[in-house]
Amino acid sequence: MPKTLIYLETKGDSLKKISYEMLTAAKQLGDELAGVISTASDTALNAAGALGLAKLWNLAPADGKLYAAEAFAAGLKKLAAAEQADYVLFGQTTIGRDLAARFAAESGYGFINDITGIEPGEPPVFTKPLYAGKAIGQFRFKGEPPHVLTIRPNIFGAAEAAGGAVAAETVQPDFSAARSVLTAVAERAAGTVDLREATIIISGGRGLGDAANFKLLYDFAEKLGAAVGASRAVVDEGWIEHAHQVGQTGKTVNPALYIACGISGAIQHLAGMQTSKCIVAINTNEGAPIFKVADYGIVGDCKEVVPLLQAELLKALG
Amino acid sequence: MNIVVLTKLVPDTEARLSISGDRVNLSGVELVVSPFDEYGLEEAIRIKEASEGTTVYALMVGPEAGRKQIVNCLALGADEAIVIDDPAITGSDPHALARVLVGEIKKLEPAIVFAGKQGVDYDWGLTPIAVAAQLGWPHVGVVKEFKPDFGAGTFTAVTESDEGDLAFAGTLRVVVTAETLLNTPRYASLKGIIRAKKKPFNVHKLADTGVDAAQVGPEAATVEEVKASHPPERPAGRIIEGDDLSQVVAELVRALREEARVI
Repeated sequence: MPKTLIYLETKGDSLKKISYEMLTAAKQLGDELAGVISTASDTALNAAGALGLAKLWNLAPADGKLYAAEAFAAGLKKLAAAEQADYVLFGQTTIGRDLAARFAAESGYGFINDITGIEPGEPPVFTKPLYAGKAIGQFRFKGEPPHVLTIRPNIFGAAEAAGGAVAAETVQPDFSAARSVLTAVAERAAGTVDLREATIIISGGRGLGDAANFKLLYDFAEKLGAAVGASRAVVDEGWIEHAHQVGQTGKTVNPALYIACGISGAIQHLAGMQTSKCIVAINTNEGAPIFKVADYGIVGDCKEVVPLLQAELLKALG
Repeated sequence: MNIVVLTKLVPDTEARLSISGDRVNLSGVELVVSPFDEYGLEEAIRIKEASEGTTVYALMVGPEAGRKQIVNCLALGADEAIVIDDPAITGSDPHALARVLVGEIKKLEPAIVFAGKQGVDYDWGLTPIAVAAQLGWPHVGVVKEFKPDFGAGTFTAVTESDEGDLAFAGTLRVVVTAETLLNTPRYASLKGIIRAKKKPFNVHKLADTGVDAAQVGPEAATVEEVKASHPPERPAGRIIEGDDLSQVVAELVRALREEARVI
């Protein structure tokens, strides 16, 4: 029976949604699960202890040293070897992707990242988007375990914690040997929603007319707890910061609802958002390619439609 | 001081891709330097402009057919290009590509290796980190700010994350992977284009890197590609029509709630 080691992620005192999604993915590989976490929070440790894992280790942050890829990878290597792990699973997040790559790189382990599906079998086949989603690739591991995987957020569904109270064993990472160390996190201002975590994204393109009209989208986002996205064209124009860009050279997103306002649908934009569960397109040009991927379309002016939609959604969400 | 910039050729991001024989078919597709690599190159050139006596190398694993794109790196400000073109490398995984790159990097003894955060093809994001691990160097990934202090032999860097900005501190030598917030890449000047033609352009074989053929190619790979396919087509959507925009929007919200069930 394959054994999987999961690298859990926390945000403050709680486990991130991706941690529960990793649990879902790990269960598709086998039932023998153990976890590694890195937190100074007892509340987060208790939440991880209640997931139903057989074992749990805490790569404890030291004073002023929160994370170091080299030190964490070395710690994981020992744990994976001691546990004879077949798979080590990470989230495709900032820290998850960094640590997964370093861990795989240190020992030349097989590495498949950003997976969106697992097809059981001997060996299992893993699906991952290629070219930012313009193609889908299927891969399997060759050679000796452990194998390294990262999962794409918002795909696998969050598993329920199975209960229990596994106590975490502290493993002190060797920060003294690390030469690239995370020393501080400047938390984002409250109220802004990250594109990759958002349930609803409202995204704007050149069809908005000018930069000032992005205010409509910010209003909408604030009232509905949505995130604001943008096409490359308007980022290039300087209407909005690059951090908001959705597409092959921006962010890849997959919210429950993606509302494209005045975005024509260039292929590199579509690559970044076409796995959204539901796509709504609003555009004055009924021939715009965005309508080909949209579940629902409205041919009309965003400046008129967005405020109406905001009011109607607020009414519906009560 | 030397700086190496890792580059890679990928299909133009505006290109449509076709599939044949269970693989993405790139014949006839225009190739470009992977967009994230351009930010690594720009950062290297800025350091060179600020620190006299710096040489910037653009390093790429084949094909030599990518000469035009790499010459553009020289036009932008890189001093020398090295392309490792050898059929034995085809089908290598990122660990093996890193072996080949490390073979060249060791000869150049750079202070910094820049790369894009990932190639916009298979999006592994592993090769630069594997270069760091094999060199025994630290890395700092997906940076939007990078400040080396060559006198002190240290750096600070900022990475954007889901939670907010992450501040890193460390020591040189280091592998740095760039994201698009790092800088705004320049365009090549006419003078740069003319000068580029006179800059050294080296084409190397696998043997020049000191890596054994058994360590590269599909046989040495840790992962096997089973097949590639087109993404599933989204089912045809519908345009909601009507004379009264309020009613159109109300119908959309009804559909989102009752049909799509996303709200």
